[in-house]
Amino acid sequence: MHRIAILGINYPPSTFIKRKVEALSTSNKFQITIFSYRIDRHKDNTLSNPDIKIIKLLHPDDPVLWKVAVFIYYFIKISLKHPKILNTLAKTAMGKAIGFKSFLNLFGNYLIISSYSWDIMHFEWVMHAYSYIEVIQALNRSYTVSLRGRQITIEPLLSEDKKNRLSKILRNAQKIHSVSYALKKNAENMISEPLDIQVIYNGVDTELFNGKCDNSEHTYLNIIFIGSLIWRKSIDSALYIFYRFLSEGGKGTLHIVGNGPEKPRMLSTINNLNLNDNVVYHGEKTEKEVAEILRDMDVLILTSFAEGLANVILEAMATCTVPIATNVQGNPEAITHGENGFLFSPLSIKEPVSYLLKLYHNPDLLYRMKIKAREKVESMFTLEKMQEGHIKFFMEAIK
Amino acid sequence: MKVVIYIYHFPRFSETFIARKFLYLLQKGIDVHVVAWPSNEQHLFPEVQPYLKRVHYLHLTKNKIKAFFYLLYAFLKTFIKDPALTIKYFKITTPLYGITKALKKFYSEYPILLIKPDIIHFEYITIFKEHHHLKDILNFKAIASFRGHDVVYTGIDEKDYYKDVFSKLDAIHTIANYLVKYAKKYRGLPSNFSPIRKIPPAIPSDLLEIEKNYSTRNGVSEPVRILTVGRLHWAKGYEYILKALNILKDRGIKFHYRIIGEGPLKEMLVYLINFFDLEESVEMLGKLSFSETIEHYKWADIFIIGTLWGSLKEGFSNAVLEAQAMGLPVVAGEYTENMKYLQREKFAIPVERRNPEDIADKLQLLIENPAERKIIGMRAREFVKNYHTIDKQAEDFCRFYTEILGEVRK
Repeated sequence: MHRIAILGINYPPSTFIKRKVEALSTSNKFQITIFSYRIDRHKDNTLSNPDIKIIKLLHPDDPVLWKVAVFIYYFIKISLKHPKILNTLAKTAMGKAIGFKSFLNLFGNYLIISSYSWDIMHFEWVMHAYSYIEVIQALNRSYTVSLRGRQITIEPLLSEDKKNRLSKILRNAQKIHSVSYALKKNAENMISEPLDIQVIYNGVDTELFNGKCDNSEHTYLNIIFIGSLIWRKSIDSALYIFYRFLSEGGKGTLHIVGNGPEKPRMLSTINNLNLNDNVVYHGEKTEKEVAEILRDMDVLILTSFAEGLANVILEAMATCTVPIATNVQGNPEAITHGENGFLFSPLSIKEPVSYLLKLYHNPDLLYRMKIKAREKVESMFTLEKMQEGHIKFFMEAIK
Repeated sequence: MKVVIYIYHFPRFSETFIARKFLYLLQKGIDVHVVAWPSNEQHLFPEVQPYLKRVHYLHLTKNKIKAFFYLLYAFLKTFIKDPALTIKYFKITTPLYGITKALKKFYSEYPILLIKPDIIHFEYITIFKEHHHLKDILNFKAIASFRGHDVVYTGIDEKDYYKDVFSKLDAIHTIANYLVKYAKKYRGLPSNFSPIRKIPPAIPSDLLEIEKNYSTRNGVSEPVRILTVGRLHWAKGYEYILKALNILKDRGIKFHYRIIGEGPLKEMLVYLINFFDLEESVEMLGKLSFSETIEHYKWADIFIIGTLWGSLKEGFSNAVLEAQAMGLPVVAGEYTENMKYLQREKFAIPVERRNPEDIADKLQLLIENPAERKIIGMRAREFVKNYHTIDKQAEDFCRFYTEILGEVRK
């Protein structure tokens, strides 16, 4: 059995990482170890497979005494097992750390990952790899990364330093996984030399996300927005599109699922646009609850400025909910405009409002698109396909 | 009449009107004091320096030993002057907050216990929320201001956030009527609350004297210069402006847009400027001093702001008033009921908020009509001169305080 270490995710992991890890572990081809900065075993969404090892890494917020104890334990362990690499680990930590506390954290984490046996290290969030490249190389092993969204679409724009870090990570990776062809292209445009990037779409549990593709007469639309309330998701423009839909004669309710720093913005916009009677705010929900809510929905409105390929589009489509989404990065790879959903340019108003009105006035079209949406997921975005893709990916990487 | 102005930091450039009010009240012979945390912009206000003994600074420190000595000093000073009041203070606050929080509150309020004012003006309703128990300890009239974010969204996800606050207020100052309407509809302000006095935002009248040269740039041969001054915060709706500029670019219109300000949404702006392919025509200048900002007001042909509330008719934000005082035509959102008035009076260009297409259309009209820009800019100057100068505002506050106290004496 091959041993994969996954570093840098919180535990329990977010839904799409959980699906991937479970798919890999149930294949019986891999032993998975998760190195996590934050562990909360009481939360929902924990992994069901007991064979997956969860190891806590040091985090700056951890209690000092605990950190010291962990540090000493792993220091002794490595001193006894691989005393030769201690010097390399310490030197690398010194080169990367800013200040003494950060040095101890990083050195401690290098000791932890060096104490366990694994064949390949995988980083679900690509930028996390930067601190570990030299250590992995010193251990004579290799790493892989996933390209998911923000870290490839936004971070490189923020500073030359971030761009250079990302380039270094991608150039040194054994193999790269991308959640969409759009992100793959992004990465290829950034690096002049050839990269081994494999696109594996995220998969949806089509049993759990399974709606009624009914064609009953609609007198109103159930519209849903799902996502963190952060600037990238642009909840404000979703509310404005819905407001204009109502102003132009549409009838419906907007359901909002999610939480985040822009919640006050959302609430004040609901007030400012007088939408209190037409908006239902559900807050943050678990995967099961989201699936349940989606079953009663007709349309998903997704106003994001940037997305790798939004999982919520796949979940909505699986549940016979027609997506009207921004044509950013990977979204068009799931949505065929006019066939199983609609695409529009971010912050446009006229187009998404006209699509909502079209579906509102034309229940047959809505029904046809619901069917097509479900079909698309069944053909391209299943858990099985994702599992196959990741098994192939890691087998090739480990070779 | 003894008045305390309670504000977060004093003096601050973005709140010049508070420093001016303080000086004006002093001039009128009013015994006025300020309670605030220190400001790093004190050097910008040399005129305030001679009166610093009337400014009671609260010291902010993370050092627990220092904090203990600050607190001990405050306690001894208050206890020696008025032991009964000090005991009363803790009798009331300890059951409400617990002893640790009561001590922290005490430190932030002890200057008020020493001054024993007739009026305390809390410059934001959010400040009064933190100190409303003072009404049970001292006999004074409490006035709080409605200024924008404090009413529109602060604490909005907490039901009845201001519930206990309004019942303890004696009067409200608002910068605009729409805030009162909003507070009544959504924030629990009783519909019969009185008195509420509208005193709009204001800027120093010397800005009106700066000469404005109007250009003939029309976006064809030479780019038109557009400016925004404001914090990079979601409340400012920058994304809609950038989208509108993207539309203008697609229409072949040339422009040069500058943003002055800093804030948490810098990342969004950087991303959207890249996404809409605006790198060559948009500049982010960060935070600038007032004198530097003045140069950019002179540079600009049009001022635009995307703030998601506010009223041009009632006098928008300080930055908008500054731009208007400098003779710039301003493009900003407005409430539907004020649209006709603005279309008639033409001292600014109202747009539909969150609607990039409308913003682009209105900008295009101004870009293509330099003569219209001049007419609107000059009217804007008149508008500020007539309704929004700091001297007038300070006078209104003085009258307001006197009236409130008059009611007490009755």
